[in-house]
Amino acid sequence: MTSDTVDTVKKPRAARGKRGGSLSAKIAVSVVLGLYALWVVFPFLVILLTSLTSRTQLDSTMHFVWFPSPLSVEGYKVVLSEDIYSQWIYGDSMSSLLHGFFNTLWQVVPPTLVGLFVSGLSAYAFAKIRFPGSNALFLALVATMMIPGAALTMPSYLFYDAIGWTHSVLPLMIPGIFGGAGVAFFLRQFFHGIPNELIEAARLDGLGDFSVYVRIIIPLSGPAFIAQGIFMFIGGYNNFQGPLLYLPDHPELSPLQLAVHLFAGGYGNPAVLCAAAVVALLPLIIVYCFLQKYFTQGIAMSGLKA
Amino acid sequence: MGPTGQTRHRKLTVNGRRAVYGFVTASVPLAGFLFFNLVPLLIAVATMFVDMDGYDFSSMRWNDFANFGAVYGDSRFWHSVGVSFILTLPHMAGLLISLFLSALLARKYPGHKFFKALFFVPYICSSVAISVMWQWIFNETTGILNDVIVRLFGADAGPQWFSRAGNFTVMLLIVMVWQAPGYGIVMFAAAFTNVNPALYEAAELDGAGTWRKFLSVTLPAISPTIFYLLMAGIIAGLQTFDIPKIFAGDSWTGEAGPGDAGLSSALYIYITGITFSNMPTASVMSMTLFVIIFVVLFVNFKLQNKWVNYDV
Repeated sequence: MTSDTVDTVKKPRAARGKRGGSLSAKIAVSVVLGLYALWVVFPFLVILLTSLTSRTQLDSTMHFVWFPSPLSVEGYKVVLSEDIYSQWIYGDSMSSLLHGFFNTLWQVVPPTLVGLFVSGLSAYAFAKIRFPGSNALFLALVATMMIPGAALTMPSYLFYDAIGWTHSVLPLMIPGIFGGAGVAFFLRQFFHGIPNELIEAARLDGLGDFSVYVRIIIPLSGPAFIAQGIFMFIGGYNNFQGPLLYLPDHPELSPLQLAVHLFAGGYGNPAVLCAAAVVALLPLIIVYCFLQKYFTQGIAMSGLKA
Repeated sequence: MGPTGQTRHRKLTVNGRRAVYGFVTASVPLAGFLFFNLVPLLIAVATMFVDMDGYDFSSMRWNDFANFGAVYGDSRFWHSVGVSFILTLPHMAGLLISLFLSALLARKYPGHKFFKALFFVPYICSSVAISVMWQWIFNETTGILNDVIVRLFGADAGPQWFSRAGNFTVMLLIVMVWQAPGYGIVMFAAAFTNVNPALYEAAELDGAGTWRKFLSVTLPAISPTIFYLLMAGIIAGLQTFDIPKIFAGDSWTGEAGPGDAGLSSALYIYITGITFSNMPTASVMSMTLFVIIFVVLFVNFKLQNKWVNYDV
């Protein structure tokens, strides 16, 4: 696609029809995009700056410190070593933030993987197997996506309390392993693109549907699974309300976001706080840098096409 | 050569077993939803009509719809609904910003891929990290913003972001506007590339200028995406919880920010149900929020005929 086919913004009349537009249009667009980039980056720069400021400089300056001198990594040292629960029985002298990071990993990764697998299993059945009630079931599944989560928060809490799951990680981990309507919906679309002949051939070779799914569909659908898995993982990694509801009095189980939140409540030193935020943001941003195309693909493919 | 009775019978059972397998595996996500969401929803509906001690079901007592009177007579609840609607504004602003930026990015000048990737980053940041960043920026005495304001305007001190209701609201809006556009930019990028090039050529033959082409070709073609983002933004805005909750902090009285400026409905439901353990009232609020969101979406859905174009 050439640039003038998606030419959507007003530009000088003289430049019309020329590929790429005039130099002045180019400059104007780049300046606007550059300014917006600055606005996006600005909060990250601010916390990076403050995270490298020493306590002494912060205490001796009554306003924002623009130029940390000398650069100090004490904020990061505290964040990577301090156990903020040490005064309680939960103390294990491990950095609360690192502890939170590991809690996030074991609480989020298994439900994400199992949930992906199960959603795909369901999507395969919807896409490739004829069974009675298939359409009604699919409509019901799509309808569940319409229900606003905020209206379900308290009902779920009451339910989990009744079955004794509050004050545990179960409400955060178990529902996810049943798969998600949105993920199944998306994968179903993707599986429709896999030729039926491939599946029929495999079945003639004696493979059952489960084996077809595991040995043929999954290997062919890597990008789709990765794209959906990434968003499930981000949702879990960034989840704040869930742990706040179910683990407020269990610091030893606190995932990363709750740990950072507790740091924010307990620390007077802005350098430590900013360092905590940087450390909490870094893993996802690194993952994003490497898997950027899957992020955007996942959104572009899943958002529409209802 | 037709199938013998034997093989037909075998084939049927194979198809039958396949159908059972299909039905069972297809139903798993729905079963999870029924158990973890629909059952709780039904329980919550029941609690709307009773008094309860804490979360103890055995203490349920019919109370003649008193919970409804308590919620609908509570000006704080309606205030929270208003706050939730205000918090849809950043998503609407995000929609416009992402549309504008996507139009610029679509010109594919050098660096557009980098910009697009960068603009998406706020979307993947956690609300906790975002709150830490912006609370520090807005810090009244040592924050960078008030430092700049004081230096520029020579005032004694910058605005009191955390103790004045109006300022608090503006602060929340700014933070949410910062995060909102990332998602739309990616969605629009896909929508722009899907516009049929022949339409632009036809418009050019008709003598349409750039601006005219944008209004008459691009906008109608991407209107389904605009509609989708509008709906998604309204849903997300009306359910806002994390950022108001973190910015308002914990308060023994349950006040959420100065003058309850941060009291979104989702936060008021949390305060009622968790902080004050009043589940019946929280259930009435939850169901009311549910209905409000549905009504707003329904109206939007009805209005889409007037402007959303699915033909292109």
